[in-house]
Amino acid sequence: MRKIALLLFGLVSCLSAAADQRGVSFEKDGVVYTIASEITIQRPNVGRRSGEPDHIITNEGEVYVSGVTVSDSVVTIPPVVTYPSTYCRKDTTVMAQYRVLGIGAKAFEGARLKDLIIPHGLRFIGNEAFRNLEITNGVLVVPPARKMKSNIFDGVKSKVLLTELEDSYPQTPLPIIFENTFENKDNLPEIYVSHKHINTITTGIDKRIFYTIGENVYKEWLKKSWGVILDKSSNYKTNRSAPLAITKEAATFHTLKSDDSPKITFKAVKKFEKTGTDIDFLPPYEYECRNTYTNKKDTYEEFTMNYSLYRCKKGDKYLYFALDGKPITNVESLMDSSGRDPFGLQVYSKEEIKEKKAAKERESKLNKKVNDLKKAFGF
Amino acid sequence: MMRIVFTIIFTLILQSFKLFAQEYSTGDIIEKDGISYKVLVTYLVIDPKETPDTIQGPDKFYRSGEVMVINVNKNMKDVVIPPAVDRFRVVGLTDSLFFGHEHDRIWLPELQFAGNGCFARLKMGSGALVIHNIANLGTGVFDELDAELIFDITKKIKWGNAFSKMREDSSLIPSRPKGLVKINTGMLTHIKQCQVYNECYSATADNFKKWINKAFNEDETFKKNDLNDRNYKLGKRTYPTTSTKGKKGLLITAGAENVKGLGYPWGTLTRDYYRQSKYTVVNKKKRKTTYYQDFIPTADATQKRGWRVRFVGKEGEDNYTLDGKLMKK
Repeated sequence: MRKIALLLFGLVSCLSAAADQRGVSFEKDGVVYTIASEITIQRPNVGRRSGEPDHIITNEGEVYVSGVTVSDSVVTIPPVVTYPSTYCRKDTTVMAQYRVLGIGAKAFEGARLKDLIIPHGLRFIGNEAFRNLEITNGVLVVPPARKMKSNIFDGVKSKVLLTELEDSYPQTPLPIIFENTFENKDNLPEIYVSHKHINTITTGIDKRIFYTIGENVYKEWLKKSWGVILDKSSNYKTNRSAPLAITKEAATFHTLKSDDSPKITFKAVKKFEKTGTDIDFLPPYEYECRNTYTNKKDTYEEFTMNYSLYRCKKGDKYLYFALDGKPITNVESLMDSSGRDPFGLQVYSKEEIKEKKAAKERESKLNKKVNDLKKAFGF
Repeated sequence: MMRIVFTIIFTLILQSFKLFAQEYSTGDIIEKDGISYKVLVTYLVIDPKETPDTIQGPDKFYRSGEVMVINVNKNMKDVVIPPAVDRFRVVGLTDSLFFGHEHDRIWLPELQFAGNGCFARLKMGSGALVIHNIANLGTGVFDELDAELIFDITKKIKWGNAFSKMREDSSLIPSRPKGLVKINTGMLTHIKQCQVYNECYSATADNFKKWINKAFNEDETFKKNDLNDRNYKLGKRTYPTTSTKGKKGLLITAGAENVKGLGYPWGTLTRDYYRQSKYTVVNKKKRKTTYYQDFIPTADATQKRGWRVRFVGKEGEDNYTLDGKLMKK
């Protein structure tokens, strides 16, 4: 029975590990993304052939849009963006999938774009995100994010269409939190909602600022902006971003297929240090580890694991353990020649590595000399 | 001396003719400020300041009623259709009234109807046509209207086929204004049954006011045209024959009703606008209501009380004394 349970656990569970890459930005297709989190997820290798591992490791994470580098073109924010993993930047073959969680403060400030296509289901749109943005196609179509921060549309130089006043996918309506979104009324563009959405119950906004449009105009505007998306699917809401889906089973796992091995519990926490203006909108994570080898319980900000060891971060320190929980004290032995750990993290610089190598050589030479002397004097 | 007296008498007679000329009858044409009106119906009212005790005779009644606009001078830059002309309420616009016209601004009062193709191919210099309450719309009313169309309404409208037009084979095809159709968000329910609901724009409060102001070239005085001519000038339509507190007498309410089945006396306007006067007469003592089509206050020297009221209804003529007593035929 226990074996079956272990087998099931092995198949179903997704072992996860993360490194906090917050603040790291990258640019793709004209959009600048800032990484909020990155997690290594170990998923069952469904449909594997003989000889292949029973699970595969993928890098996944969450990003938010923090800027734009192009102008006069159509910019599409995808629900998921693929980019070389921040763990292994030099190895561009290892790609990570980042869920786009939101749009950062002033991300599109002063931009002039032909069109901007925003996915559904964003967690937030930051303060003054579209300040003075100009959409030359005429209409900025904005699906509501769960949290709409202050003065998002300040000075926008085109019409704005809010596709809804609540998020209702797949069916259950979720209220939108408006935080002074339309506070600066003197500088607002014409903001439109459809006739049928104007009666949606909302809090924190004065709906008298809205213009409304009929269903035909609404569809026409959507088609003009989202033509490609609508061609693929009649339900445009399927083009939506979602936070990382960590199942309950995957949120708690053992480092080995044994209940006696260290138990890791992965969870999102409400409080986390603010390292950027938008970080507080994102779900920060922490990892609780009950180490059966040391018989200690500890909380880490990061956790990553491969087939022989795992790594945790606490404060500024990285700690390494064997999968049975035994602490690895000789960290240098894990590093490659360039100073990276087995997870690709640059732990030591080249100079440090040279120095350590030289020190090791000096030590071995010294040891050799000591041994020679011992032999010579007959000790 | 005699010549002077005759001149004065002659002048007075002419004046009386002039006064008489102002008592329009059904079908008469009234010309005023470049706009022609046709009298649809008349009924008798009293001066708003008159009390029953001062209605001493038949001469205290005035002819009031309803008119429709039948022509507007094409060369007018701004057109103001007043809510009333003299004592006549403006209730509608005839077919194709503004067809192919070009005006800078048009001000319309609350109306009962706008005829077929009324605003078809109308071009507005201000870029928008503002419609206040028009209870009934004909066919193709806004066909190819070369402007935005703003509905500043507060009541339900019978849309008819306002946004369709008739082809030669009598089939209807959709027909929209060239500009946007706009409405107050609070009144969206009133337009829900209309063909343009799915294509119209709405705004509330200040934003809607901005649309209206733009349509009137930001002229605050222009949009206050409705305040210039109120219905109180039309006369008092409900009046008793005796003092208000008295238990005897008649309470008369003058008005008009739609008459169906009598043809189309004024072109192709929908038959709903064939109007006929209607007097609602309530006997205060008996609490009995009778309806008549005509009312003739009559001076009769043979009667001790001086004068009486005569009504003509479907069942013939009825004469009453002022205290409400039905006189024998």
